[in-house]
Amino acid sequence: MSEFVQLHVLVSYPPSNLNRDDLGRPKTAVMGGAQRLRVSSQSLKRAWRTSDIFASTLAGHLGVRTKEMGTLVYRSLTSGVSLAEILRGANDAPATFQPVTEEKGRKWASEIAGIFGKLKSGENALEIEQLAHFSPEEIAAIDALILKLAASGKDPDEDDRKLLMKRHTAADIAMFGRMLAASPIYNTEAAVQVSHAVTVHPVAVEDDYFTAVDDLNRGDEGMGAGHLGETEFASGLFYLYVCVNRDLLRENLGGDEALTGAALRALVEAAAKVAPTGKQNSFASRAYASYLLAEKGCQQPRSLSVAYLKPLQDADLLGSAINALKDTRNKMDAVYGNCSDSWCDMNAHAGEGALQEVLDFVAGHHA
Amino acid sequence: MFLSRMRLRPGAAGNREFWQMVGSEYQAHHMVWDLFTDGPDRERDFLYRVEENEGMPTIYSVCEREPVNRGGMWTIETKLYDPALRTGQQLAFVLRANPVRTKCDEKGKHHRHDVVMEAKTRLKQQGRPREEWPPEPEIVQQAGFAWLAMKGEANGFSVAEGDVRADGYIQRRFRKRKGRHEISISTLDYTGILTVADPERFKAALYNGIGPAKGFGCGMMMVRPAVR
Repeated sequence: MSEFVQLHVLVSYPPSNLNRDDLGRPKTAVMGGAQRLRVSSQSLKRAWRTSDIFASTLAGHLGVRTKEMGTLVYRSLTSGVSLAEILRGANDAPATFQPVTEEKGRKWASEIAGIFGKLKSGENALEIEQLAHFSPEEIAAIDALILKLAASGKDPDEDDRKLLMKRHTAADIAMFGRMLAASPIYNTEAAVQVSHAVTVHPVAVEDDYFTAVDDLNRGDEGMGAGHLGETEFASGLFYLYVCVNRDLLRENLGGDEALTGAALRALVEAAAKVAPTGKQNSFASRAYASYLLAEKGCQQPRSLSVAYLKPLQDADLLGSAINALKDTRNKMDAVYGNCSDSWCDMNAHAGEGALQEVLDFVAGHHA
Repeated sequence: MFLSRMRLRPGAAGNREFWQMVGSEYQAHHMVWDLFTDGPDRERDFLYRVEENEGMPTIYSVCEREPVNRGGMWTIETKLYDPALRTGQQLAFVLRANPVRTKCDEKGKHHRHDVVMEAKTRLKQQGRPREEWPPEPEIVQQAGFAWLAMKGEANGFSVAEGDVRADGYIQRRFRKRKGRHEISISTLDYTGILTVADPERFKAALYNGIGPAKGFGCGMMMVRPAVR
């Protein structure tokens, strides 16, 4: 049985619109018969993966996610600057090898990128159809191949094409997985599952404009639209659940125990501190988690979202949300037996516990 | 005036005719026009706004005539729309707009630039390296807010920067059904709270729309009473 690390996070975002749908409205979900605001897991994962926390804690162990690898390889081949430098964005890096002709560069770049994903149609197309995730090891291998091709001037052979690697140390790929449609054998199964964050209280987002016409016609103000301010500009208190299969994470990281610990720390810290970026700059809706509960154990994981099935509407929203979470956890334990072996929490509402303790707990001794 | 809400009938999405209608942006515009026009010579006398609800389009419209449900694919609700407004009243609003400024070049030719592109061009002209530019959402918010504040003056309302969100900047490009002419429209989505400054003018803006591209679903402002 695998060991799981489960996180339950309560985070309140100030006026913001963190995650919008195609038409620019905040994403919503219906839960317990009431409409809630929602932040998709994709948006959360992206925010975490690109956070400073990930960058500093997991330096050297982060993959690159791009459609444009072919273009980047082409630039490397034809400029003599290594791929690593180009990825770093060093525009004025010196050439380290003899550049190849544009024609050869285009041909080889298209061959190399094609290994990682189906290329867009067109002769010598360079862009991959889907976002592909490259591990640091694979980028190093591409770099080595670029050097070799430039030196020999010969087309890549069968051996040269073996650029995909099952074993890698890209913590973000190990956590969130990758799908290579062209070579599924090199897929990585995600070790981290992230729920959509959903508000613990009801939020009306639409339709009211149509309904409110009656009020406007009568000249009524404040009738039946009392929630208005809350809808668009007040904060939402979100519940977020993250489940990590620790064993799978370690396996994805080639059994590297230290790196697994670092990855877990980065993940928990990011989940506690990093908000999605939507409208961040005009609303500065940056928020730290107000409550964080971490659990460890080999039991089958479960979310505690049922705590909010009945939407909360108290004045002390945060206080009652924390209580509801603890309460639900205890009751589940009472009915099912302990759902985890150990747990650790921090409560910024009451000023109890510390993030550092939670991080040590999560990364520390395990079954 | 009337305010209508038109929602697609549940079965209609299985209708091939429907998907042919919404196949492109330009066709979607036709789809809405079909609900209103009674002949090829009819001039536009309505505003509309398309929203998507769980993958299905919902159209809101301010119109002088009630829409006609040709083909019966829609559930149409219509209400009389004659808001009683007063100076100083606070209203929450949503607006999708095509925020452009028109400039005359030396030859007297008019050019339309959307305000976000314009802000970026200005940054470029200032010679600031791209890495030092403010993040895109900030550019959008600032340029977008400035445009709306300016429009407010002419249309009888005022807005405060902290009360308005401008985002969802999209450049839309599409072709007319016939011909190679490409239409390009940038849209911005506004949400926020405004204060009515001149009820008469503001009402006219609610009826006639704000900014260009009204035929393509821009400029219809929806309001409701705000309580703070």
